[in-house]
Amino acid sequence: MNSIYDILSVSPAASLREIKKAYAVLLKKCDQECEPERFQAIRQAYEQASVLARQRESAEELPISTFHEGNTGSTEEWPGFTDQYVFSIKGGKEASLIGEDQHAVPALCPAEEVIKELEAHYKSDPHWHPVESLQGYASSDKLFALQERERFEQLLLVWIFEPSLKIDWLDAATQCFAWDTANRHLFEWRPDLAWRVKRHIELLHLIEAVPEMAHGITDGQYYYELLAERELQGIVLPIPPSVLDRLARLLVNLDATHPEEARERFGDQLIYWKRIVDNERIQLVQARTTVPEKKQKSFPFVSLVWLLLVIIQMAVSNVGSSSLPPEPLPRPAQFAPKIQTTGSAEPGKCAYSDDQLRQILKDPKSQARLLYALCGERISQLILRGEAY
Amino acid sequence: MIIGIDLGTTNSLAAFWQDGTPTIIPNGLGHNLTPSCVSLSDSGELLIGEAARERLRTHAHLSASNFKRYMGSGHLIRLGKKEFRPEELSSFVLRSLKADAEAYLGEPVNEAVISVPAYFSDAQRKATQAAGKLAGLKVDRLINEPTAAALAYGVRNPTGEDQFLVFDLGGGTFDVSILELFDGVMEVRASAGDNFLGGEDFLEAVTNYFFATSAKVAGIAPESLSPEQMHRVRHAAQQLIHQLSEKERASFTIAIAGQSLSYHLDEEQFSSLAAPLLERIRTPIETALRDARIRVSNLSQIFLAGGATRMPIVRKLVARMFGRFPSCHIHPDEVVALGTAVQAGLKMGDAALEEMVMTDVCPYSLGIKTSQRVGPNIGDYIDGFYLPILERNTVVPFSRSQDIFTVSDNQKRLAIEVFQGEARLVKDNIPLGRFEVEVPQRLAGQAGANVRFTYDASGILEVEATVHQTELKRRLVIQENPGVLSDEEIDQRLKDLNKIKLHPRDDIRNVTLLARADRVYAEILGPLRSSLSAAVAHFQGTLERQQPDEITIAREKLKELLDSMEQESFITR
Repeated sequence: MNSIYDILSVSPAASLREIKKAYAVLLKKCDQECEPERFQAIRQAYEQASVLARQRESAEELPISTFHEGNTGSTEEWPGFTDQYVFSIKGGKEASLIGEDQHAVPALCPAEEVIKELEAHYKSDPHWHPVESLQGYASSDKLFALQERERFEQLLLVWIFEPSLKIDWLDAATQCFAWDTANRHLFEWRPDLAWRVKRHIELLHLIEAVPEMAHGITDGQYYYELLAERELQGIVLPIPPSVLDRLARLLVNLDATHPEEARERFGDQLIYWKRIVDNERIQLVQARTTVPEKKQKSFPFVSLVWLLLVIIQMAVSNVGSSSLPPEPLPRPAQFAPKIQTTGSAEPGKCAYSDDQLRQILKDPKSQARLLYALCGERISQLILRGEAY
Repeated sequence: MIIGIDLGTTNSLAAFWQDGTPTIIPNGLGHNLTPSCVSLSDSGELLIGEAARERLRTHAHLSASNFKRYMGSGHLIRLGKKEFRPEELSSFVLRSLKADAEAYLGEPVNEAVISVPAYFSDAQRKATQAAGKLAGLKVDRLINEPTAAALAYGVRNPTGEDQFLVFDLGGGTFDVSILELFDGVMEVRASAGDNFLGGEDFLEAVTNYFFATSAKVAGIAPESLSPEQMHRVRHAAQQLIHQLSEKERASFTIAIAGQSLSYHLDEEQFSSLAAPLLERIRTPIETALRDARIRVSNLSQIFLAGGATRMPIVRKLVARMFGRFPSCHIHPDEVVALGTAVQAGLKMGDAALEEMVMTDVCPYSLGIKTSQRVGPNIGDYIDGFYLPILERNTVVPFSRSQDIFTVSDNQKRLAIEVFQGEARLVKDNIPLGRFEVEVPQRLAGQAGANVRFTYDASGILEVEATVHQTELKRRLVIQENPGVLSDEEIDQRLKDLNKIKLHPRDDIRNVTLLARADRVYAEILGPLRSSLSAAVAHFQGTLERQQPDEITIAREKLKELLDSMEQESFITR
């Protein structure tokens, strides 16, 4: 099979501009109506190559690396810790943003007024309903201009994370402003926070797959596809360590408790996931595999995660029965050498240091904190409602 | 020769590509715009355009307009004794445009690129193609309206690099598209829209306001009016909206049911009447921006297309929303038609367009109905879930397949129901069709089929299922959909329709003028009527003598008289 770069006849290191140029040349030689297959191949190669090139180019511009390199022992995921990267609201990017408005610039732009209003209201009434209030603001006249809305979302992002994370507001903002798909403005403004939003949303998807597995596509499936795609391209996409962490637990727990069933249900997918996780050298995998099955009960919170994940697992396998990924995925054996050549499998790549992981395994409180960091208040709500022990 | 046609809700236009530039083809009256109206004359001939629009207000039962809104629905429209499908009425308009193009170009025209709203569904697109066939035009290629508008702009700067948005508010539909231009590639990044939002809705709001205010005071209810009177009220409302494009206040008087009613509106009132409609503009724009993954600040320009964008309230809205003034270097009524001509040029492989290529997207998701397992037991399935196979704003042409499996033991058949839309449950999406394939009887999940969706550049969908074990293939049979004609039906209808003749083209000016005279006569009162009646009789007498020069002079005279009478009747106070 030709790689995407062979199809476009560019080198894998080509810039976005070069990729576009190559695509334009190919497209002019291809009759879309008469050669739809060829067009589709060119198109897909172009899309994938440009996504990767864009990621690479924006990664070079990113002022702060997030979790991708040596983020060992980051405190970022632990609520209560002060964030290492504190930008003030009056950051340097502000001036250029306002400058684009042709109209007279008042002392405060409408977005700033709204955020001030919101903060004042929040202080007087912390139990104020976030979704309703954000919807109210979204349709307000002050934020009518799309740029003003964008700016409000940027300010809101900072407000949500600083000084301390307001997780219910993050959920509300994600819901009201579709931050899961429309986040370019957030990345340009505060990449560090935008990554956290992204990670949070990905985790929510995993968690939400449980009660809402009736959705057309479960997110377990999505993750599988994401990982597979990443492998096909032979390039490491940034996957949040917390997600890898969860995958690791999922695999370990399944292996430890229902090895037969897990293999039967999952077959190649299971081995494939495992390989990815192994290659990332998530220490947790090794730590957990040594824990005998019966000791599960002494780790109630881990068991809880296990429970959740098994349900997710079910959701994933159910989709498998009604629909499978469109293209047959290559056998895991083909991946193995590639993974080794990526050379990024350093032991320190997991967000937690070995010591931290050991502590997590010993200490229920740490587990609770981790779980809280991963799943936010939902977990506490579940516990409060007596749905979990 | 391939021409481009903008088949609009209110007006239609034809254009062609020549010498590296698109040009509009004028109709028999020398106008660029042909109203999308059809009327049967008293002798049973077809009148299209201006004349038909005049007859709407004198012979409403023999005339039809706005039929584009029913495309693909199977809704029948009555003209006199006969009922017509919306694609048949559209085919009449196409026939007339084709005749105009042939007269103008001096060569036969047998193929056309027709524009459709980006948000037109599969059935609506197929109905448009059928309309082309019924008019004797081969329609291989449909083009989305905002894409066409963008082509018209993009063709002026083929080598540039640019990102822009096209805001297309036409008579009946609203579309927004975001485009990227680089190295001669014109790429539609995303399209979104509303199929039932357009200038006609603004007109509706104003007429409703009239019935709620002036007419109510006078004791006139909309139900008590004849279709002709209704059309006159609508025409008056149209005039009012046009006037509001130029000044802040507008008003005029209309004579209805023996009463003279005046009708006032200022810009502010109009804005509040239109507010619910303007609100609906926002969502598609946000969706398109999100799907295109482009920030507002990265858009270089906002281009306007569609006649309804001439309304100042719409322009103000766009300016407020984007924080800048929209551009419209090309006439908004003509820009789509010019774009279809560019596409026709591309299709003919014109040398001037060699360095230009365009890719479009499918603006909505397409998928099938599936069942999901909700419990540990084999039978714990709930059906009615939507499984998207083509996600919205995927670049077309595109083909993708998905394997589906049986959910119960010894299942004999798999029902494949195709839907369009974004909702999680199929009941909230638009059904496109349904077919079944026989599968070998096995345990649940052991038998299945591969369903392939193929979406071509014109936006036409093909669905094919191949059973895994038996290699049996089935295609989606569209005839089940009441909104779409089958090939046989088209052939049958074609025979019927060919019996109805278009009114001779060389006589169209006179017929149009007489239709207008009839309409003005119905609207005026008192002594003006008798003088008009005499003038019309004189004109008809001139026509019978068949002296071309004499006719031209008489026509001008009658036209002047009508102009002055209309001035008096619709004095703006």
